[in-house]
Amino acid sequence: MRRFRVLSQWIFGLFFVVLFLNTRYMGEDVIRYPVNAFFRIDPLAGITAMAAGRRLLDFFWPLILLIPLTVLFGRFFCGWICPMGAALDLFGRKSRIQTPRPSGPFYPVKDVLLLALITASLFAVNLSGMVDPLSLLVRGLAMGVVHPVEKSIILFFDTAWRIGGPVSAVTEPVYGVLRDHLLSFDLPSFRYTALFLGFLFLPFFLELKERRFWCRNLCPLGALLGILSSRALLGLSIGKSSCTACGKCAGTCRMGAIEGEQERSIRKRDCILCYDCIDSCADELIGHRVPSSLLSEVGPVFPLSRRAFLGAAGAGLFLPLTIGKTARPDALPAGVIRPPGAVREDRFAGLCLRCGECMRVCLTNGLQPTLFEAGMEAVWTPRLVSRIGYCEFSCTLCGQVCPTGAIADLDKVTKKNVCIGTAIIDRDRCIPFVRPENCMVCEEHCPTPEKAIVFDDVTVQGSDGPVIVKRPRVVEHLCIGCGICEYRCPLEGESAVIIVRDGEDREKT
Amino acid sequence: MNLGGCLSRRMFLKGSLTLLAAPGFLVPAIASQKGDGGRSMLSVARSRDPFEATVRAVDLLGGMERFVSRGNRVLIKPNIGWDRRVEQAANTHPEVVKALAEMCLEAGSREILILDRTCNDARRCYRTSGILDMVKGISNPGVSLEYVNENRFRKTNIPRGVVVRQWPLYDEALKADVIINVPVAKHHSISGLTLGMKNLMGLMGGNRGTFHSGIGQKLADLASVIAPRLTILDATRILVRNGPTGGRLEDVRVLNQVAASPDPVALDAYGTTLFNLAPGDLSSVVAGYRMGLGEMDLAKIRIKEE
Repeated sequence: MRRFRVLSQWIFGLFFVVLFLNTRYMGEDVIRYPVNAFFRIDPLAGITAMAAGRRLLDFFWPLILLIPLTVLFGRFFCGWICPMGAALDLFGRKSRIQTPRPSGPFYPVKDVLLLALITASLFAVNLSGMVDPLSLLVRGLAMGVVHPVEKSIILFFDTAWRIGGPVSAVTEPVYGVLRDHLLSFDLPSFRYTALFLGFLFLPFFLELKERRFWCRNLCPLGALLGILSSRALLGLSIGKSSCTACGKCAGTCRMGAIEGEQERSIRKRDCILCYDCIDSCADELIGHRVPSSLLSEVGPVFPLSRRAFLGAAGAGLFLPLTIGKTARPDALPAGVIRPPGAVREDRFAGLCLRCGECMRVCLTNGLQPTLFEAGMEAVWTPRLVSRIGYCEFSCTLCGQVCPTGAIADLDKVTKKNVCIGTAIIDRDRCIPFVRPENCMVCEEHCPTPEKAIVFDDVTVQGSDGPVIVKRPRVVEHLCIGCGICEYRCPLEGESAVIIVRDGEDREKT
Repeated sequence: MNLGGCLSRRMFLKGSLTLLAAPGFLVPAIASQKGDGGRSMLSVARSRDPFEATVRAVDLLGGMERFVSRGNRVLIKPNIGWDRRVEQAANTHPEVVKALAEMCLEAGSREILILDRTCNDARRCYRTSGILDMVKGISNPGVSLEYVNENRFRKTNIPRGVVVRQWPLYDEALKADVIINVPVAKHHSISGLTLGMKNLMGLMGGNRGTFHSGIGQKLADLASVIAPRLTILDATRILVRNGPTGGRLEDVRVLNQVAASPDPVALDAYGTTLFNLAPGDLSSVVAGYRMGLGEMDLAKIRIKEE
């Protein structure tokens, strides 16, 4: 059985990697891979998004299968499916690391986190994505790992190209193959890359301290699955009649789930069904067996003390209570442009899993994570930063990959007519306003069939007498706020055309 | 080197042209941009079929063999700048490019590279414009469509440049033996029109937006260092308003014609007439003429029409 578990981890892990690599434009308007499939079986993401987003999401229908199976068998998700768990096992397998003790000072942290996150979600604030292992992994890879890795590869080949001669004759074809098949089309870069990289490293760093430290002590998804598993009828247990309490099973358990000195028992809340203990038991006492009585199982369903419980719930209330007028949709700063199809602002932050799929898939790299500019409750949600990349006129990818519908999946025709903001021209910097020269780049790139930027011909004094300059003017009812004007403005630094939220097609209440 | 049915169509056209336009082959070969006793030459061919029009336009100049030699590396530079469909007239018609690629193959060119530094996402542009499918259809290893690599531009001196003395230019363009420039004729609010010289901006790196102030002379400076041996103007359909991006079919006018010239200035001079303008209305034409890059006086250009 143990081999099947390892095989399952490999299969799901590779599936996760394949989906991640395919989360990009593949030459067709529609992405054919279910790139966000893993989130469908993430009950933490599902429960908090539905609670905070105030809507039932049929995306999460596989939970109808996962939850009963977990109640029956235990945390098989953590041992058999979770790509983070698989990565941690792979990372920690060779090192001389300790198996954890049955309880440690960090043990209740995950339950406190879980309770706080769920409480907050009931009050429409959803921060579960910050610590959900799947979000953590996708976001960490997309926004923390891809850039530095690909940048080093590109730097190598660029250097070889500059050397030229026989060196580049060898490296350029290799680079061509990598560019066609592996590397991102354009090297993506994100704000706060180091932050995301650091968060991703944390579970791996802790793995060096104790095996599955993250899963056992910190992971709120693990906590939720653990609560569901705590009475797992068909989970693993130890036949006690002839147990000699040799302790070998406890010595192999990566989750520290085997407790008791005289009489060994498996704490089902922590058991991830890795089956290592089965092999370790000389008397073959460990296996799936139906307990004689439910009451024979030990320990409470919810592992926190009353004091910790109240504290955690209070912590979950803290953020919702501190949010006041700043959360009103009209209080969102004018420059925070949400992707096309984004639902009204308060629901948007509630539904968003912070997984970063939309930012990874964005053609132009324009979708960037927020920090606090949209409020504490909307940290790491996507915004369009047009100076980095604009919203491509005929592209609908971000809505396609969003698991929760925080960004609606728009059809191509609708998308071209959805207004996400309006351009305004800074007349203190725009070239034809400050110099007797023409520029017109913003108008050139404007994608609406009838251009949303037009010119006013104005006669001004040039160095050789009067000249006519064309000064741009925005036609508000045509502008959709795609931001290509802001992106292409040839000025150094800030653009002279700026997109603001005015006119955006989003529900306000 | 299987060209399939396209070759037979090409052969058929060539055969019929030999009969129809036999006098064209009597014109002495041109070595430089100026042909026919120092006069700039320009051809105009009309057909509802862009492929056929292109073949005829080149044959009126004496055939591709005059511009491409055996073993040459050829860079074909169409306009693929925008995520727009063929009928929206924002990009060069893929059939025009196809005709050129096949003529180059026949002329013995070793390697034909097609590329453009696009304005919208390059993958979307190549696909929506029809260029990607066209190149796949040729399925000849000698013809390749490449995405521009932003790190493969070389800072290049422009010794004759009046305003622009240095600019990063695409390495493949600098390495190519022959550049064939294939603009589509469009309205453009910056340069007035976008024709041949404007289309060469697709081989420029850097912040191209800054080029737009005083663009005429800058385009002429650029053309002085990236000299296309042949420029083909796709006027099968032209965009008369809301250029260069377009998007509205009302702004497209179908002309069913292709013009060709080894003289980039003459070609742009002719292009202005398609929009009821004069060569002098386009500052890049005037600047190019003043730099001696070509002829702008239509009366002095030998125009060969069918």
